[in-house]
Amino acid sequence: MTANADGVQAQIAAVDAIGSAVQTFAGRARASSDQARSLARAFEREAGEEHARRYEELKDARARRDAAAQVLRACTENCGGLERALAEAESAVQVATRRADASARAVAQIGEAIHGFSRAHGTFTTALDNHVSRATGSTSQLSSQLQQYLGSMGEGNRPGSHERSSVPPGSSSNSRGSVANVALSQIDDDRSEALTFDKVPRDQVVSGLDRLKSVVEPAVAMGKGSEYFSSRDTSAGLSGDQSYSGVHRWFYDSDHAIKLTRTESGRYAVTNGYHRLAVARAMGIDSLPAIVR
Amino acid sequence: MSIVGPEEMAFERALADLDAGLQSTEAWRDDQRTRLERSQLIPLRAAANTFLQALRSLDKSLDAARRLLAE
Repeated sequence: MTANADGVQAQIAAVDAIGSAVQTFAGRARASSDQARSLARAFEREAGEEHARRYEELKDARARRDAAAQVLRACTENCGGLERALAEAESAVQVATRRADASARAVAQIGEAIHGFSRAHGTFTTALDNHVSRATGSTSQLSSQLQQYLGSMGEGNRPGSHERSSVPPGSSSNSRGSVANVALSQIDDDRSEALTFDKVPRDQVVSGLDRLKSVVEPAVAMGKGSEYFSSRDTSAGLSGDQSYSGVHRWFYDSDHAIKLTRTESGRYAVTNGYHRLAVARAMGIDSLPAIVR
Repeated sequence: MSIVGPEEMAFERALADLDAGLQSTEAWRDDQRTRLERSQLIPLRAAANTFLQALRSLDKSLDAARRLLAE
């Protein structure tokens, strides 16, 4: 174990960050894999319905062809028009047969693909459950041990309070306030009017919060700053608001960060960031970085 | 737009963020981290890669089926 308190703090931050990254990944992976399976099944239903329609069209085309053939058999003179009608009906049967065959092949192909995917889905979710629960169990245990060790060094424990200062190198900390991680349970952000997402779409807020929790916040806890995020963006080919730099700016730059004011009751009132707070609550996030005044 | 393409992309993004999250903690590297990686993180990453292939394969099959339905 590291000999000095700063080293232990950094190790705790890394251990917590790994636990958090794994848990966030598990949630997002489950959501997208479940949604993929559900979309595939919906498509299978649609294809089945389309095939049933085409099969009915084929039956109708055959009935019309049989009727045309019967009329032609009864014809004794000037039967040219009836012969043409039979030829057209036969051609319609051929088209309907091709269409029904194609939809039958599509239905079979979808069924086979879903069968294979369901097996992979089952294997993956089992692996996800096992590895994520063990990894988070290990990181949680290790974090507790490190905190106890830190306490025994006389440096005090790190988390536990609802406001934990985390002013990182490279992030914004100036006369207008410093960034701290604040528990959402301590923030009063109820608003009488409904929030609209005209300026920043809700999906973008969700995606930004995902990146904050899975990458940016753990990296900030490790002391990483804007240069680090720029370099990660370059290697991942990311740019704009959804890049790691963009998310870092959005939550740690004094112009954009969530801003709170501590009230007499010891809780927090919101000055800026209602949308992020509302979406974070809906996502089950329990704390966010904010500038507290 | 393919049928499960958006979910494939969402999964890839989650995986990239997991990698970035783990890389950001590279400063911590000792026996405990190595054990955690060997026993949980590497197998988790491998399972995710295999599943991503399954997701891509599903996407291709569904697209082929959609082309058949367009005939």
